[in-house]
Amino acid sequence: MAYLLAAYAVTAVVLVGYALRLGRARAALLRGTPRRS
Amino acid sequence: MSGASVARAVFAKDLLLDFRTRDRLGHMAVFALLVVALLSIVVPASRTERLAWSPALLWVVLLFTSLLGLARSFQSETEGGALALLVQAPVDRGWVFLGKAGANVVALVGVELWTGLLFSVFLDVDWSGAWRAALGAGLLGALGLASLGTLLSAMSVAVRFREFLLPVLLFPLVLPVLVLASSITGAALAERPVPALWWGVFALYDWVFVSLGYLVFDYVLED
Amino acid sequence: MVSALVTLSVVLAAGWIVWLSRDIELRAGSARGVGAAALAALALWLGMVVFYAPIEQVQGIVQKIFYVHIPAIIPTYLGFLLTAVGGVGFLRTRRESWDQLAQSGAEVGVIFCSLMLIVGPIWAKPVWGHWWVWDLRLTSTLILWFIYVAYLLLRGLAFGSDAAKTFTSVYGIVGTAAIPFVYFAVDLAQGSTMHPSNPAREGLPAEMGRTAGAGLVAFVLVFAWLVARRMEVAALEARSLEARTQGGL
Repeated sequence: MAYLLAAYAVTAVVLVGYALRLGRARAALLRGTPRRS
Repeated sequence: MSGASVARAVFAKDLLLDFRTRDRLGHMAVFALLVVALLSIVVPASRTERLAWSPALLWVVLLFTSLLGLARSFQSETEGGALALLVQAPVDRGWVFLGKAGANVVALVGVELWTGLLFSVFLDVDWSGAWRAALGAGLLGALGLASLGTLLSAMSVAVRFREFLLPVLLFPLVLPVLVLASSITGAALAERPVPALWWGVFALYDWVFVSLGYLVFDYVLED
Repeated sequence: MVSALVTLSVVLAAGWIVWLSRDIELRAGSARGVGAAALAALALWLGMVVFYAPIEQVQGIVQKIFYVHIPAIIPTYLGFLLTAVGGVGFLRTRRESWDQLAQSGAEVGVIFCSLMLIVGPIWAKPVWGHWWVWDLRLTSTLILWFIYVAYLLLRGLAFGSDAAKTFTSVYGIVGTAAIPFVYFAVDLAQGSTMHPSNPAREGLPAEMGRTAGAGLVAFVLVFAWLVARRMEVAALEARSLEARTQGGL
């Protein structure tokens, strides 16, 4: 059961994390500040 | 001036360079000797185990040895400034690729023959029954390694950390060469028939990457 | 029926992404709709996983990892396809948008590929006892991952040089061309496999097939949305760079 939850949790964290990162970069660029990588 | 004559000129020049200076070939030969000698000490001495592992080991050794040679494919051009001249050749620059890759094929086949000899001396591999298939695999393998290797070497010349980059770029793409060549060699050594499918896929692989190299080299040389 | 739906969504998603790349700044608004669709699809998929899909007899509830592992397959391969298409497009037209397509395809693709390599072992450990199994699917995914990483490394190291985009376009093309051969080679080297044989051939119970299908569609939508956002960021970066260099002159 722990394995099952871990698998779904990892997937969620990775995808949501990447989406957030993209969102932050996009927001910064739209504001005009150069993106810091 | 036709494309084929350009290819031949590049091919001849590279081979001449290889045979006159003996740098590249010599270094590859010594490297292979060193590695095989080390292997023969480290690998278990039982005959059956050596027979089982030899095909794979052979091709891993060849992979690393050819890396040495491929990395220097364009050394003479970059050092001598001849790269700019090559770029200006009024022909489809894919022919330059064919010439270069061809020279690399010859060098690689030479290394393969040498390494095969080393394996029979150091690791008791008996090529008598298997040499035809092994040679075929060797030829196809050399074509595969040379085509991708020449292409990627040309690209990595202009990039930082190329001793690291070239193997990282090359190895995943030439896995099929390793597997096909060692499978064919292994089957031949074990006196089992080699399925025609393996030869077919191997030939297809070579055709794909020689063609791609030819088609794409034009863009690569514009650096 | 399920596979037709999945195929359709893949084709539509790929088409939309390429269309988007031709004029990303103007067309980026359409991503909102896709994002909403993705969320809806994810909700449906999760609901099916929890309530609709049966508990398998042999593996127990752990088998449900299947529904988060399989959907990642298509984005992994789609990423490569986009990278190759973008590479060809860039070499032929020299337009930035193709390169942005290639880069985004690779970046998002490597994420899904990494997910497969993480979730696969999480599934393997309770079922087969080992964290890693050298079977066909996992091994070839590993090689694919190496190709992705090599591509991204090349991009990173070549950055700034004029030829960087050309080189990565070339590598994207040869890298993708190598994939069928890699698959064949791994299969040849393996002989036998420990991986569950392709369920589509075995005849999966309908509920499992539909749940997996829902996951596939949902992940394709997520992939498409992420690629769209990534391309938008790339385009904005290019514009900001252009503005700064022009301002400095």
